[in-house]
Amino acid sequence: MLIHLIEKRFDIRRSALVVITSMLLLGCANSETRSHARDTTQTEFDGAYGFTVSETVRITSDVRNDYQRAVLLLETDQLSEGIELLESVVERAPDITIPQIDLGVAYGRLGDTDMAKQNLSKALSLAPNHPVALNEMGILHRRTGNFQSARDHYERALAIHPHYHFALRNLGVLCDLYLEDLECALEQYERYTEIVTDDPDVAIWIADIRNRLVLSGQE
Amino acid sequence: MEDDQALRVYEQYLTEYPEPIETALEIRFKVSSAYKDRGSEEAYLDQLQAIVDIDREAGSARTDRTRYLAATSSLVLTRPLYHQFEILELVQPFEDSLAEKKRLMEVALGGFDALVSYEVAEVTAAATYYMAEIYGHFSDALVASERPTGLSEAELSAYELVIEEEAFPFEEQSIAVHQKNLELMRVDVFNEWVQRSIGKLAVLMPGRYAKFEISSGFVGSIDHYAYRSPGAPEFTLPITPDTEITHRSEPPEDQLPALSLAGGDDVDTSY
Repeated sequence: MLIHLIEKRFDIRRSALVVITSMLLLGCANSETRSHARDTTQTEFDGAYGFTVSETVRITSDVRNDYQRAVLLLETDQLSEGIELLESVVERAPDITIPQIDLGVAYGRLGDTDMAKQNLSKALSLAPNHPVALNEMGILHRRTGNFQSARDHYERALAIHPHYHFALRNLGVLCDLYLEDLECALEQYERYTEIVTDDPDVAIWIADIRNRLVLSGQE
Repeated sequence: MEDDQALRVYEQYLTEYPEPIETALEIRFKVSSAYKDRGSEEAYLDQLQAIVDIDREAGSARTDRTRYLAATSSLVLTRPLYHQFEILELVQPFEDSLAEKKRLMEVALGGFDALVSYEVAEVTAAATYYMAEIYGHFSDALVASERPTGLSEAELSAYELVIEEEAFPFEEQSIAVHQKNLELMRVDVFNEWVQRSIGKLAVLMPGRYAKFEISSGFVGSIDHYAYRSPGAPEFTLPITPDTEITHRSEPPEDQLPALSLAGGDDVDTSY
């Protein structure tokens, strides 16, 4: 009943709830996935506007509690302490995706790009299509000048989650500033503003791109 | 003590074996680093100057590696030119300090411009960055210059206008040179200096360059990541007696990740 109500209200063209198992997605995986036989996560799409990526985890309450404590430390900018605790979580639960992702994000904030990439690679070997890992890896590749790899990661995230606004905006910035692909940038920014309707900055960026396209005779 | 001994061995080697040049310059570069680490600034700079001189005179013995070592050494030796130019303030009598500032600007521009001839990408990017900064600083220095005394309000307004008109072309020149640095990305050169130019342009032309990536932040829940687009319409379900929940598409509220779905975290691209 609930699903029918949502469908009717928002005219969602895609099926209201699609469960994509990991095996179906393996075709999209790149080298980060090849060492593992399967994706450990599953994605439930909640209409056009959301999704949940979940993973069955078998861990002790100690590990779970330590993870939550680590996140609290990280979110309060106690990065070194948070990383240390999160490393111990990963040591005890090496096959769980999210602690690896959070470690990657934490190392990225610390400026340790190598460790950030290493942890996100592990996460992507467990869950090749995890949108957070793909987006964060895209940022890291851009920072290190691997622009095509950055683009690949954002595009992989968007291929499965086309409304994932983080990747939309980041791909737009990449195309705009670093690849000079203005058509690509405009497309991403426009799709982004359909989702994030109150971002005044991106509205200016769109105007800027249109102006540059006119000047270069592309539009 | 061990370091002292290593340094003596290196220096002995350089005295006895000045050739092959590439090996000798590698060792000299290590020697320079050792002096830098121990805070011997003068000896450090002397070694760098020697690397530059030897590479310049190397003729056919010059290699890509000697050119690289000489270019990076030369960059270190040239940087003080920027700082000498930067610290000189434009004070009254304006003509005198302006003439001296202009002279230092020309010297610094010439020094950094010469680095480009090494054709070492990292050094070219750094030199271009500094040249852009020289123009930018000169513009700022004009605007911040000491005003003459004894001017009427009208005269002071006219003076301010002239100063701004004089400063503006230098700011434009700074922007143009930073943009030139970004062109290195077309030939797959991206480094700290190109990134710094982007950071400066983000301040000078925010509408064009102040564009930062966003991170989704920490997931915050060990077994799931729940995402909902910020633009998703709010909805409330009509509650009727026959409404029953047949599926829960999101995890229970107490398990939701501590994550801002709408905003994310800006990633500052400037260094």
